[in-house]
Amino acid sequence: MPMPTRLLLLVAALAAGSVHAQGQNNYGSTYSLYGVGERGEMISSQGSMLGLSGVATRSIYTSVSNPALWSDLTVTTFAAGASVTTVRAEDGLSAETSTGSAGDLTTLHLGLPILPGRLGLVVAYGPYSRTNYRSASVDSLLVEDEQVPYELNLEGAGGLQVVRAGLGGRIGQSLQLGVSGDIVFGTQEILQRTAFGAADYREVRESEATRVRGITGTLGAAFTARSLGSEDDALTVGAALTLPTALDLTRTRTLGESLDRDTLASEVDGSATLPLVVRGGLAYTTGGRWLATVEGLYEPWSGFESTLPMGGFDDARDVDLLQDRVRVGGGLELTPGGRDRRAALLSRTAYRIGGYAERGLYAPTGSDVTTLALTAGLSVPNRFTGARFDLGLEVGTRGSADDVLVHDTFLKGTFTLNFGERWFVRRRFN
Amino acid sequence: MIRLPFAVLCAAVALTACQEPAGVGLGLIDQEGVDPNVRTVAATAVDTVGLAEPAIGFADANASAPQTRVLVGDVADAAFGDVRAVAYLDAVQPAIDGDLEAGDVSAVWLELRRTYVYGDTTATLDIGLRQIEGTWQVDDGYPADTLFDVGAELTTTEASAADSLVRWDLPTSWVTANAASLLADDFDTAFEGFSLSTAPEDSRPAVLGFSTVGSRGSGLRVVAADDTLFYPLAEVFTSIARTPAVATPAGVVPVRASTRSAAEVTIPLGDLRSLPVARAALTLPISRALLEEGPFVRPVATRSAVFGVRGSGDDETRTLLGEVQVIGDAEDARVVASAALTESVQAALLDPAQAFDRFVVTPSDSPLAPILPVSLDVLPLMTPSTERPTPRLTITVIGQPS
Repeated sequence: MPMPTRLLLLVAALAAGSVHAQGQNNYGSTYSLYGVGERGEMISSQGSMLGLSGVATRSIYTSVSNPALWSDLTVTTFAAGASVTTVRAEDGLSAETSTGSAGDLTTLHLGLPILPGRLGLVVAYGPYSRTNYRSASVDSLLVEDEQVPYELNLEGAGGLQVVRAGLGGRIGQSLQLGVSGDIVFGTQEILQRTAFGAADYREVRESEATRVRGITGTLGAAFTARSLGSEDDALTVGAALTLPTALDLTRTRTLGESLDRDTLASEVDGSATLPLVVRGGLAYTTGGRWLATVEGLYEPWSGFESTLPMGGFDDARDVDLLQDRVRVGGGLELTPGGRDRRAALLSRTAYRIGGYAERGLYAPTGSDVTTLALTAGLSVPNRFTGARFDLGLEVGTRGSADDVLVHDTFLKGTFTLNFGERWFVRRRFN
Repeated sequence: MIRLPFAVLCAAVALTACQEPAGVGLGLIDQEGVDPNVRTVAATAVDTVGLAEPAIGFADANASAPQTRVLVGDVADAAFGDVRAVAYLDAVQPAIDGDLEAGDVSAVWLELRRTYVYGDTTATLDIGLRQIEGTWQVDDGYPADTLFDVGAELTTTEASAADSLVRWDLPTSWVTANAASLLADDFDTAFEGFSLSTAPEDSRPAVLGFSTVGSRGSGLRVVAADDTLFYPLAEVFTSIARTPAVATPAGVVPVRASTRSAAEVTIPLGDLRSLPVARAALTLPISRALLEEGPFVRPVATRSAVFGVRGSGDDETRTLLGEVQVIGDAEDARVVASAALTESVQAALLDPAQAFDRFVVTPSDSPLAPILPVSLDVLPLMTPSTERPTPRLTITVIGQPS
């Protein structure tokens, strides 16, 4: 089978696997109940392994987070990735430990060099947020002098997706600017399943699903200074701003599952505003062998507004447990062979390590919920020019078991196919 | 090279099946109004209602054994109404040795197993046996109190609730006169069977029930030469004539099986709208005191059907919701494990237009249990009251009304 066909098959398998993973029985952190869910990242497979930093990274791995960098496209690029995250959680209330796993799509993008190295177009799809918590408790109910045991499952499912499309252009030798339009959409579903331990009782599955859609835009900029310490080094400063997103909400309460659902209450419309996203960072590379990145992110969730109650926010009840989300991360990448395409496989493989610290967008007890994580990975070249398989690993902790909080320990594995080829570009020589 | 990514992908997808949920995180999740709770809706009325249904008590050789019980006797019952029951039984000829002749027949008797009693359990009934003279057949078109033409009384036997086997010996004159017919090839069509009845008297102590078709031991025995031939019963019918109750105790609705009457229960669901329902159970308290008054017993209808009824007259729709069972020794009769009742209550809470106007309970007449035997079983349902157990719908719901 020709290599391109096999690659396309792999991409199809990735997509199918992601669809499977986004189906039922995906469980993660309890904290995903807040806001519109646990925030996802659309960067690149490279940035994911470098402490979630990519706003200033100029490389063959198209960083989706900063449209300005899309002007670097010289070949048509395509990436598809999937992840599996396992979360082990404990708290101080239940003295129990729960484990949940969730699969997801991480990156899907297509980049087209309209003017190679000067103007690029990217269309990308990825997660904005994921809601995938589950907590189960067992109790009993006195019914007509008889104790009936039951299990109450409180679950969150779904999340928001982003489709981003835009242009990045280079102005002069050092400055890059970009802009994209972002469509945010998806469904967040809050489920309550009550199962009884008696034959006469039926399982009750109540669902509150909120359909979300909105449009926003992202502006990006990058400035690169070269030959700072050597002839072959470069320092890039990058920043991206995603504007606040006005969301339309439609909420329905249903009973039952799949096609056999009854509506419990009439549809309710509402609106919400997602906060802006500001990213800024640096990337320093030398000789094509070393890359160092650092990035900061800020999202003012303390200004989140919604006419409908959302996780941790209910204007009518004066409940607001959300706070500004802040993250700092960075990483280091080594490619021993540099740009030498004739080097051995291990020399052309990129080795990455990074880490980040994040203050979550929620403060259930008033105290920060902090995530600390280490990231690492490999980018393995393929004999098919322009294709690389990226394997990544992320391990970290989130929160604590103090008070009502939950302490998560998570392990995330990612697999991404990056593919680059000169499509749609006129050859100079035949 | 591409095998590695595929292996990684497969492993990743497989890992998503790893789930061990627990109560971790409940402190963070808003659980207000999510717990199940029980709502009890009291009935506002319990009445009797007439049923326009065909007669009962027929069975043939294709029926199951319990269905073929016949009732015989006369009972005076002020609380539930008097009943007079007459049984009709027809037998079929077994395989007979062709060498037998009429002269070989020396004795004939009818033998039945007694399995049921309603009334005074100490009483003795004189049950007379007559030969049916007209023609009859298993047909559900007969009214319940249909009587067939019969001849003079051939014999009488004393029977009581203490007897397990009752026998009627046919007189020698009848044996002699009918010996040839008993052995004839056309016996099954020429012979129409016997009736069993008590003489109309002032004393009407009880009604006894006997197992017939398919019951071991119940049948006609014919002694011919050295053999005793067993003629199994093939068709039976019980004629039941009744009079209305004249002295029903206060607070009780007298519903009795096989009398075309049922209980009608009205339960308004009120303000429980839009709540998820995990279970709905209909509880109908019964008066145990009426089931056993000294030696006088009234068997309780242990299995009955409950219907949801909407509309009236020609617009009436009736939906079978479940089965009513009397639970143990408790003074309750309730619908057990009725998914249809739960679903109907759920539908009514979601859409009041789907609510039933009333529930109808038909004692010992369940379409869910068609093998129920003919009986006079009673369901002495108690009417709504605040001072004793009251008829009610117990609904297990999730959450609170919004």
